[in-house]
Amino acid sequence: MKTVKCWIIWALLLLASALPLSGCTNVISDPLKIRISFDANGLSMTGALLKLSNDARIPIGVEYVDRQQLTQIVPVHLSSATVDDILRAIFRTRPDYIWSVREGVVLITNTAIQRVNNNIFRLLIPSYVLNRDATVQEASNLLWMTARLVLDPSISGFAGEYSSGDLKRTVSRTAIDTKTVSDILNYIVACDGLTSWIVQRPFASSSPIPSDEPWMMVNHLSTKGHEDEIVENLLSHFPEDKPRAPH
Amino acid sequence: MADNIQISQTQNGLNLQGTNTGTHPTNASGQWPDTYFDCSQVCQTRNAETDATQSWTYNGTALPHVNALVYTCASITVDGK
Repeated sequence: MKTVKCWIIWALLLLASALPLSGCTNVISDPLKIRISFDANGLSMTGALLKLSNDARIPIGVEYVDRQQLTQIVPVHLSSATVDDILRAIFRTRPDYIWSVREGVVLITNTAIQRVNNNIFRLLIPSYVLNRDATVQEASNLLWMTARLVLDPSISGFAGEYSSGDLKRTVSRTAIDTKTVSDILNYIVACDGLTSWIVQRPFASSSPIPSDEPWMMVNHLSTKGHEDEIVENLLSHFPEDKPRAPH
Repeated sequence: MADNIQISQTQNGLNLQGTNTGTHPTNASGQWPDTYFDCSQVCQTRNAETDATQSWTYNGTALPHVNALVYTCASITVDGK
């Protein structure tokens, strides 16, 4: 992969250099065994997942979303249950969903994805280099640029903008070789400890590459109690009534 | 709030082809944060300039104002600021 030297210019991050930095010290060894009381409060499957990540303070990665997951209300009320038990209750009617722990992140996927050839989250990234400490959004933006270069090596430059995210929380600089997009997203949110990621639009490598990221970073602190608003935003990208894969 | 950045076809010295944009939630005052960036192979050897425009849609409706963006290897200006 060709090397692109990035000159990132911060228009609005005036205080970034003065803020304390944190390293990758927040990785949870076995998040599925964390025990909490959980009430889905009339949320959909996706909303309940986001609430679960907030309540249990665990990072999750969701690489498959369909309209049913976004709209079906899950009546889950459990006292002193493990995260694994709560996930079973949330997906009681959807046995096609499966989950596992990767680098301290609960990665939720769907068997439908295994039939998709060009799943963006399985795209192999030869080299991901975060050459300074960065916010979750910065690290995410760099990952999307890196992935786009893998998909289209003829790109010689990028311009754009993104929401800067929580400037007080940073991911330590790192170099990761030969990992998938999903693996690197997991690394980013595991290091942060208070963020989850979720697919936000279907993706097909045969169609034009979208300019915005196929995933969304969800900060637990800023979205607590606003899970339904995130779901509403996601719904606009998954308009069809039948399950779709992010291929 | 969703936005789109359109690179000028006549002033693209940085040879920018990809644009990364996003969707941002607004706060109670209708404000949202933006961090601008550019990243070009050209900057490894020299400075150059690319012009662009930024427009927004809210719930599918286009906002009337369009930002004029000027990217270089060392600075970004938005509407001249």
